[in-house]
Amino acid sequence: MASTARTTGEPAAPVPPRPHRRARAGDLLLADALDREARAPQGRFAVVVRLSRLPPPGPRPYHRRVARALLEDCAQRHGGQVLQLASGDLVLLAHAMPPAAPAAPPIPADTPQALPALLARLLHVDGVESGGPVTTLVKLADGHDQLRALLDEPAHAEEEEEEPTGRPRNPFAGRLSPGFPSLAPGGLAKLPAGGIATLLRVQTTARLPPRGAPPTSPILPVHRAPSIEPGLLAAHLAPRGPEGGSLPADPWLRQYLAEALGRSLLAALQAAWGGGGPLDAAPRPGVPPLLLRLPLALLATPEFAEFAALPHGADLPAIAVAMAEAAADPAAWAAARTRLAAAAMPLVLDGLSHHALVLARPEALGPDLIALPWSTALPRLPPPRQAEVAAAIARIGPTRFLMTGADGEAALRWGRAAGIQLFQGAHVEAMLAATRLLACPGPGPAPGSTRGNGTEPASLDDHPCGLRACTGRGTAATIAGRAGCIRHDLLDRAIPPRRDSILPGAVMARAVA
Amino acid sequence: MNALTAAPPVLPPMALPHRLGPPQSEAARALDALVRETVATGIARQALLLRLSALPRTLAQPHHLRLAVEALEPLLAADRARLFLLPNHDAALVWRGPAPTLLANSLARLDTLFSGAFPQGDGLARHLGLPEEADLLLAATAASLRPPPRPAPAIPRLPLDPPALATLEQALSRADLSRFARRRTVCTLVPGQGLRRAWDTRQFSLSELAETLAPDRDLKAAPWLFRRLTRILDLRMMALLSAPQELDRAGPFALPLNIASILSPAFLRFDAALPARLRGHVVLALRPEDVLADPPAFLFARGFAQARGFRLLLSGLTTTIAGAFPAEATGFDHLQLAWDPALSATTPAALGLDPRRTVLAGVASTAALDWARTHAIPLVTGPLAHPT
Repeated sequence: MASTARTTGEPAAPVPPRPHRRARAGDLLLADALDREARAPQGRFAVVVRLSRLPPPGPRPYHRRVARALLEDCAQRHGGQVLQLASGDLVLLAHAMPPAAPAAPPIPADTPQALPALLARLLHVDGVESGGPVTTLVKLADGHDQLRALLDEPAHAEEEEEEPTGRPRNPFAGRLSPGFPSLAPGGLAKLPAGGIATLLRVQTTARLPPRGAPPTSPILPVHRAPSIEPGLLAAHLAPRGPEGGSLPADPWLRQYLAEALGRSLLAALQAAWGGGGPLDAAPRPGVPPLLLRLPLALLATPEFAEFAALPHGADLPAIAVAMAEAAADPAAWAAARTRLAAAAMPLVLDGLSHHALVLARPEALGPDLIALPWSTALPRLPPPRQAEVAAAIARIGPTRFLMTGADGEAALRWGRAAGIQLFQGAHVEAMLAATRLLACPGPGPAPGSTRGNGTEPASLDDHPCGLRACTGRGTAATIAGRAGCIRHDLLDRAIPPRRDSILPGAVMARAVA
Repeated sequence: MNALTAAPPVLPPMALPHRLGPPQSEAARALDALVRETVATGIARQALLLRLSALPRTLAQPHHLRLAVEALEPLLAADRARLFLLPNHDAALVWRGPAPTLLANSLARLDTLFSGAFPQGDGLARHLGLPEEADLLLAATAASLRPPPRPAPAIPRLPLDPPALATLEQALSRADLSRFARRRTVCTLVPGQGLRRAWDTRQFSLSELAETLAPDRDLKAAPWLFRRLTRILDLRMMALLSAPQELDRAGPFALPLNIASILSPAFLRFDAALPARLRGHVVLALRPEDVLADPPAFLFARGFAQARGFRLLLSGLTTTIAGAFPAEATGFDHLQLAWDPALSATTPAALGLDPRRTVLAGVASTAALDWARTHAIPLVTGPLAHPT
């Protein structure tokens, strides 16, 4: 090791990381190369990878790592140098163009000429990014100004490498360690004092009128969906950590956590049966049945069989399972599907993104519904991808979709344009709260209000509770979370009885605002 | 010529295994090879399997075993008869062509010897037709090589939990894992020529690893934590293969990997160390749940791996989920489908599979092999898939 260090001129002792040091060197080297080319043209050219131009959420550490490796491999084969600039962008400075690649090389992107197209394909960029192309090939002599401009880009904070030593970090090191092991099986006693309900939000799945329906068409609550609120869970996992709580980044650790919490959720639902609280799953007139996201493994347990055997009435709860879990254990999935079909409980396939919708055929697994999470990226997808997503929704049938995480008007607009009718999310909660408030007399006169008790408010502004408070109480999973409300029956139903559940256009606009 | 002395693994009837000391594993391997050859070439043979290991203790005394083997003597006169004495005291006799009289003679002797101990035609002796019933004989051979089952541990093993996972990950990052590395062959079915090696799947023997490093833990009881554990196994396998000279003489191989592992620095080192002649001949095997866990990462890894000349295989498919992962949408070069007897009633097309891209896994029966042949599935793996 020491001899290697001597020959390469690097210090033998490990040096603490110095951010931007290498990047600044890259800037200087690029400036030097541009000056040399201006003085004496040598026909050099550059492959520029503007990772800073990647659309949100921006480059992930592996984008940079792999792009750099590809550039370095090319530099090694054909001569050249890879520079990382302070902006985080990468530049391959190459000598004169090598001859074109042979017809069928073992590595398709063997030459610098082929690199921009390969990287664009890998990074899923189509050259239509708002800031300009992400990958370009430019001659130093022709693109002097363009390359010089790279040196003025704002500095980029270098991400920490996921595996700097080639060994995975301890997944429980640092801030996760105090809370996570306590959730090991048998260690669930460390749930919050108020039980798992304090980590839950109960959202309502609502059927919205299709596009073109009259403005007075009703919103219909279809399911109440209690689910773990990630923020609450993170805060619980490491409340005293230096940076607050955090969920494990590893998808498998998150699945493990979900499985442990799913058991607690089922136990909490059984305990709440018939008690009249937000988690009461016993059939009540006008109260929609539950939609439960449960770990697949749990559906084969006696605990679930006990829950399924409770007198649910005509409106049976729907069960949502993540598609990744079905793929990981197809036998368990097939058994669960049969069991739920025999119990007449609808089966929802969950955990799919719009990417997965295009990659996979979730309908082949035979679910009743497919949950599609809203993403702000959806309306901004390049036209070919938009078309792929639209084709997938049309193929499966838009009425088999339930859009989750619908947190704004854009989500509803996009989903309804695609033909989706079932929605769940903050925006839906606000709309439901608005209808509740219009039918609710409120707890008493608001300070300064001339309105008396027992009359329904003429507008949302007149109601002493306010839209935000009613939305919060509507999604609370504990009685304490509903404090201040006198109409728990309205909260349970999500909206007033049918005759009042017509949302006037003006209220809709207000809720949206 | 006395067939008893004609073939190397054959022993004279008196030299019974329990008297000899060293196990008769060579005979078992020779029988295994003969049966596989029969399967690969399709040449018909017949076999008589004597399940002496199933004899009640009172009838399994040394002289009983000797007499039982001697009862086979008439059949040794059959064409190309070979007798195999297996390590667990079972015996198998394989011959070619019809020999009904000789067979009846031997069965009559056995009946006389053990009359009353076994119901007629059941249990002790079984007449098998090869290659159709090859899997039964192979299973008996494999069972004869297996050590007797260990007594159940006094303390039940605990499921893996996060603290144990963290400890195990630390241990795995330091331990020398090379002795746990195993190869599993994937074969190409060449019509009329039997099986040829397509590639070896390289992975660690998880059962042995668990037995050595965490004997008190049941790794499969917490499947998601186990999935997490495979990350470090990926890194160790890639490091093993990146070692100098490790791949100098290696043939095509497959590597089961997590997608995160393909995007790790360890993969870049492995890619850099890969000999040029292997480029285009290495298959990366991914799992469907991994594809779904982070589709953008999968798309990036897929593009990167294919640009570097790796082929991609999606493993873990069954009849239930095969239709959900079509090759044209996922972009995989191979889709690995687990054999299930229910497949006999269906076709790859009905499952949404392109047979040319399909690898049939778990091929342990001639029915599985026949299904692959019938539907022109070129690649098979499993106990019956051995290159000939």
